[in-house]
Amino acid sequence: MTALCAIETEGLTKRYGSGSAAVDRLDLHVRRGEIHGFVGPNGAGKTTTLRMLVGLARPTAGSARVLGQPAGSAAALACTGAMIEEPAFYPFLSGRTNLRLLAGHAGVPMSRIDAVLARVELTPRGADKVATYSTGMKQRLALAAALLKDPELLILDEPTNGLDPAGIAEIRELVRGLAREGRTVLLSSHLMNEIEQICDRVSVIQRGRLVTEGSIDELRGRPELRLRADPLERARELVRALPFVESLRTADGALVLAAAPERAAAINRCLVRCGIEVSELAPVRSSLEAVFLDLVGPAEEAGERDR
Amino acid sequence: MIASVHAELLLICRRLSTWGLLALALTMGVLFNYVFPYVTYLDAAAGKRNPTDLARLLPAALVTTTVTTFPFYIGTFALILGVLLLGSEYGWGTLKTVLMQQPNRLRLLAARLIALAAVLVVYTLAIFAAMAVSSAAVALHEGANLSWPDAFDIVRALAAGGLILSVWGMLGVLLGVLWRGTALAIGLGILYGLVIEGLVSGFASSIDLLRALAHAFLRTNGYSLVASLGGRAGSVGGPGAFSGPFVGTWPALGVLLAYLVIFGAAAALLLQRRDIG
Repeated sequence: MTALCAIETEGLTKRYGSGSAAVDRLDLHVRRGEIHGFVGPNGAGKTTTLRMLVGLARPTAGSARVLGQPAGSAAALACTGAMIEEPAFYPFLSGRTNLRLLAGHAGVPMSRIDAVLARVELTPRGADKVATYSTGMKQRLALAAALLKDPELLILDEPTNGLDPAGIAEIRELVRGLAREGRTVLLSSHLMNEIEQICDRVSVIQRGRLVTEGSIDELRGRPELRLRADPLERARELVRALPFVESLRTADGALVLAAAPERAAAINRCLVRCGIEVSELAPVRSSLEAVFLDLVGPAEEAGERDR
Repeated sequence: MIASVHAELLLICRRLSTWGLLALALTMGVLFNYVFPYVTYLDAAAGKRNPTDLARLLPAALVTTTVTTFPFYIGTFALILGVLLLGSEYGWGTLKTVLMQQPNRLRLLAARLIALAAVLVVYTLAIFAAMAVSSAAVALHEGANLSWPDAFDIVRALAAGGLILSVWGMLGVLLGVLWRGTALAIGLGILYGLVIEGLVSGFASSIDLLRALAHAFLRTNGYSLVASLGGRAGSVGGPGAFSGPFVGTWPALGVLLAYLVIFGAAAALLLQRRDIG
């Protein structure tokens, strides 16, 4: 697995004082070249995990390897670009000077600065002080900083936080573009829609523990068919008898059939032939948000959001 | 490492506080060492003017007059500068931004301390230059000779001043890292330097235990070092006035150098071991 993994943690644990673990025996696997979503309610331990991956925090127990190197080591960070929590820059310096300073520390040529500013479309404002930047511009500058080393791996913590819909779309497109270049991206986000749209695989974390890990399709499960018909009970009896309907349940006044979507025409034909009025027969699939709420529980999600 | 030092020099030079503090230090130095004493001298009735008061303001007394200010209030400016160097990074969150590019914390600290040392050299030179210009102005106004101290004495005074500033600056760095911020670190640093050491030193003549303790104080050793250069320890009024105890020149030098190493090592240990918030 190690050769395939850009990030691999084993039993990664972080405790603060004698309290409960912020991250609890986490086994995380991020494959090379994928966009991996990292989701969980507020306080689930996402940022703490990311901080350990870039060496800002030290694990209490367990281990983490990034690109085959110990997490936080110079060798690992040489190929990693990261944006953890809110972007933080020297407000009295321009965006360009901030990058110049960071490039000096990273040991990358100053010529990279123009390239990354252009990449995040910040060139026209590069000479302005960061104090005058909007939230979206600071996020883009943070992305530019993360790209300075032309990294193989990008670790992005809520990169669309505080952005308007246009800004979110811009960042989403940018992340997609970076992944198309063969980079691995670990993306932490609250926005399930965002994760669903751009990630290949997802890890869900709750109370510091991994709840599940898999591809978006795996998590969302197989598509089903929703049937609204009259009379409903007669329709239920008919479809139950069909050999390709694996199971049947009722939800929101409709029947939900575990059957391949391509069977819809056959089901419709059968029902109509028997005098049943079919008002809806459509494929449905759980959204990632619904799966997430099933996994972590809506009460906790709402409660955490209110904190 | 050189690129990191360049980056840190760029940062410290672009900080307004670096030069704002220097401007304030220069203003205070000139006002309290030359302007106010000279106005006081001129205000005295012609027959009651003390020639010794004037002599302290002339170029020949440049070393004596200037070095006394270093363990007194100029050191406080170095303390504030040291606190800002790392303490403000915690508030802005920029330390994590830098460490994600340069994960070697000790290397980052070393680069930052080199930049601080470079700025403190500028501080030391600028303060001596401002005092020299002030003393020359007094001499010209009085029609006195522009007779300067030996170059060797000036170099020794510059070195002593630079060392005292470095120790205070390093204490500031340690407090900034310890408290992971600026306000409390600056407040406690000034409280310690100007109040606690002064109060304990005040009782040192009557309590043996405190006398031994006072011998290890920054001000005791700073004033003792400048006293050996002819500094007028104890003659400066105000909250930072110092009237002893004093130690020998070499013990004072040794203690100050030891503080420099201890403060630096403690800051490095804290920075290295603790998580970055």
